[in-house]
Amino acid sequence: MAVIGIDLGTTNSACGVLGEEGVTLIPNRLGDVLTPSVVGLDSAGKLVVGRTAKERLINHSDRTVAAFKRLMGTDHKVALGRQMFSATELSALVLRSLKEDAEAHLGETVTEAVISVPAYFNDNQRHATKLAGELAGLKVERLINEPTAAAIAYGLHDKREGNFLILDMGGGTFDVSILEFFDGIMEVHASAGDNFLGGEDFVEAMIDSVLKEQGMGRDQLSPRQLQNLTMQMETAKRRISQHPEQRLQLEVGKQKIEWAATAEWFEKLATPLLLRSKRPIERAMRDADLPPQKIDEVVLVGGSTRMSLFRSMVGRMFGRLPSCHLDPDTVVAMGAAIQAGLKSRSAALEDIVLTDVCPYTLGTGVINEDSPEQGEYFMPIIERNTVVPVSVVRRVWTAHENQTEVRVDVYQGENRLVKKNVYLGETSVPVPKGPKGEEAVDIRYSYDMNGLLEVDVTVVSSGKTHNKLIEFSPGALNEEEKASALQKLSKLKFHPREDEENRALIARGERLYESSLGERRETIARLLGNFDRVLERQNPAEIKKARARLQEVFDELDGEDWI
Amino acid sequence: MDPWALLGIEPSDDARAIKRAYAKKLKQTRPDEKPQEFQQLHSAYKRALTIAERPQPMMESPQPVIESPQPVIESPQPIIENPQPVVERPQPAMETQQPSPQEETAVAEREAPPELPPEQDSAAAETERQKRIDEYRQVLEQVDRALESDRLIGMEETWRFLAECSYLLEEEFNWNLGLGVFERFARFNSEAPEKGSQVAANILVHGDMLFGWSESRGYLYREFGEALCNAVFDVMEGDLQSVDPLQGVRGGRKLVEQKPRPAEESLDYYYFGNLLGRAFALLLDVFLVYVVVGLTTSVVMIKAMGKSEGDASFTALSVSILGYLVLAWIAEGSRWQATPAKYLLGYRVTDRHFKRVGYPHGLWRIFSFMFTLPLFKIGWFINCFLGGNLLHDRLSRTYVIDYRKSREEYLKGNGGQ
Repeated sequence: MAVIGIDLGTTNSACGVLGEEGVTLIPNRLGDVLTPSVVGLDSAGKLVVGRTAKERLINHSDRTVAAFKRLMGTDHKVALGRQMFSATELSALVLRSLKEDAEAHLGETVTEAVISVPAYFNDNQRHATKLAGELAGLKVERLINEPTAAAIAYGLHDKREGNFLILDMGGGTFDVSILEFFDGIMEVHASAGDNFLGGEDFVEAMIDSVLKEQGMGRDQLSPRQLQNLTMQMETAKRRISQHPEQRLQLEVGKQKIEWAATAEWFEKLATPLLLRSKRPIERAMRDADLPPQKIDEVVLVGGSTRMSLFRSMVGRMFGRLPSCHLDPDTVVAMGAAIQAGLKSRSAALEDIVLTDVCPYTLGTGVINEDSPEQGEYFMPIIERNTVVPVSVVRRVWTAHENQTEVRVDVYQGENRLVKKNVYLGETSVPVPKGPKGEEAVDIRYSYDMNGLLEVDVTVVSSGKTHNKLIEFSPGALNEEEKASALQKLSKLKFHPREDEENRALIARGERLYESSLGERRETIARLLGNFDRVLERQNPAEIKKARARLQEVFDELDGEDWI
Repeated sequence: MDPWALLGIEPSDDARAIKRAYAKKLKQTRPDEKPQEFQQLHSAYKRALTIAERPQPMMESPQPVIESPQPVIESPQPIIENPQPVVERPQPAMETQQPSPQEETAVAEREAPPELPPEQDSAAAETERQKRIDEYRQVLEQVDRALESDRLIGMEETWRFLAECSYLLEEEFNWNLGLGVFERFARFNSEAPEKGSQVAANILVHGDMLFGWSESRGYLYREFGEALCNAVFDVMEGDLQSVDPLQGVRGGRKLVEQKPRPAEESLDYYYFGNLLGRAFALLLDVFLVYVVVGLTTSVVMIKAMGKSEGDASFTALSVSILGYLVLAWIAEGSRWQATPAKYLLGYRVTDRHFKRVGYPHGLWRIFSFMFTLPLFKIGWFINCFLGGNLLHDRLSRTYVIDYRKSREEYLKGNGGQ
């Protein structure tokens, strides 16, 4: 039984499988390798995922959602129509769609997967990803860091030895990893990143700039207008290096304006974001303790690294052109697929060992007597960029007279105050009563290859160990909640696979209808009407012909494929 | 333990040989299968590498890195077509001398723009250089101007120009401008009479994002001294803004922001709900139920069923009391742990471990309430002498705590572990 590798991205997702002759990327029901990470419900209450959903983002923005990966590991919810979904559930729906595609492609059931996560994802986000896999009916064999996955794909592809710097800027996250590849060993030296920096932020900055110029706020735009503007800006961003002068017709509020999207304009608003992306690079270089001339290759991963501004910035930093001869959009999925293959049939890839690091410092809160108003101090237990799996023990003593309980808060971050670090959860253990400082507990943090943390607390005097899973971590579900989430998701069904292409085409037509005017609009309406009538007659041959014809017309009207 | 023994080789300063030995061992000690052995092996490997890299006494040059001159320092003209490797932050060419606060007036003259030794003598390079110098001066002047107005300092809008100036992506320019801005902020903050008139945390964080001050903390502390640097970094620490994850999500009818599930706090002390407060809560709850259920019942009875007003009002009252009991059961057993009025007053119903009561236990509590209060009027009297732990609370082994007060007291104390 095959284990598939999945890249669950902010903007797009993809999956692959390792076969006899290397990695195959699995096409989805529309024949594309990339599935947009967009989920929606249609008017019949059926589930729509991928390109069809992305097309519906403009007309049906209240029933469609994108970029929800940003909410992973939080308790925030999104309402689609009447139903509420957490990011984990939405991700599970994308995963389910990918799983079905893989099953159709491979002709067998798929129950196990390796899923990639940004290296800088925190523990909550990792748990949420794993949970999403479970909700989609996939046992998550391993969570692999995205840059590491990309490095595996590159390393196996090139068979080159040396130090690699992987820069992975996707739709919503930015990761930096420094790896060394030698004698079949892939050693990650350091990882750093920014969980809220990606291509979507550049688009947001563009929208903000346009609206500021018009003296308007986002709330003055209808959801449809906002989505439309987002799409237009996204397209403009992609084209900006080839077309430094673009004239766009925008509709903001009641007015229609002509906007000149120039390269200078874009550079200005992209500069702060680019500078932000330099920080993790510098941090990773410092943590790895490598001078830049020892970096043999700079590898770009993720769609946003196509931006020429980003490339020239990296070029200037390292004095060489970065390489990207594998498709930056799918290289992570390929790496994940290889890792999946490593797990399932280790014989073929026995010669490869991967060692990774924990990108964050993990610790607990301890009492702060110097400035109690600032809250607790952070006591590191596992320092960042420690090679994993690792298990570290630190001892803490009671802080109050006759204390009967010790609460161990689990935090992740680099600040010396806990309140500025990420709260992961907590656990409490009873201790025998005694004077202050008499009783002690040993806190053991174990960090595994998946980047998941386990906390054991041992009371020193009694030798009793409390192995509690972290409680109260945001986004986590207990068994009961998990069951109800499963039930909720299982009620949602996809349309039959064979219909999907027609639906995608209709959704595209509706989107085109929205964004065009006058005669063009009428033409599109007529074409869609004709197509509907063809569909009603249910003659497969005729439908196929009409679909191809309509596809051609839309391609002409669309000009640019913006997916 | 001897790293060489673990790696299975003789001591050596050949990094390649160490790596080869490590690779061989690692394939038998896979990290996912033998985590502990792997940690040992890995630390042995790291130690061996450190020993191998240690400069040998007979070697003449102590650090090979210093030998190779860094092109950045010499060629400051970042030309995009011809990328220059950057090793470290380029040394600031000029701002090494610190003007003391008294010399503030002389600062402007002494503060030459970034020294950019001309590498190419061409006029074009000269104009490019001049442009950067002008921009540098202009931005710093703008900073000075903004710092003069108390009103402007606090507004994020004021500082937008920092992100908008040209050449920010050029390492050399960015570094020098960053130093200039940092110094101005630091001096301003250390001289500001009180905290309120300082350059605020959010603006410093913005500056940090543009110029990467916290990444070069060490250098800044050496350069500007502790007092000045603290004036910036301490304020920056106070910034609690974090990225709003809801921003950037597209679509959806609405986004519901949920506060992180409140960790069940173990407060130091709990206070019982105050007797008067509880009586008031009871009245308010019954009144609420009466308005909603009781009045409807009586209207229905009078209008639709043609009952007399007296009959109707009696039934309405009974229905209200019954309604209250049902409401109390459901509400107190729920996540809210209180009836609406109790909730408003900050009371919570808990079991003896200060946890949520739950519905079965809650039902028991309601029966206890029915037995003690409405049926035996003496219960009301006895309750006045029970110190907040009333008859039905005792009978049903529950507490009604003043959560709000307990929490306030707790926060007033410390938040220790």
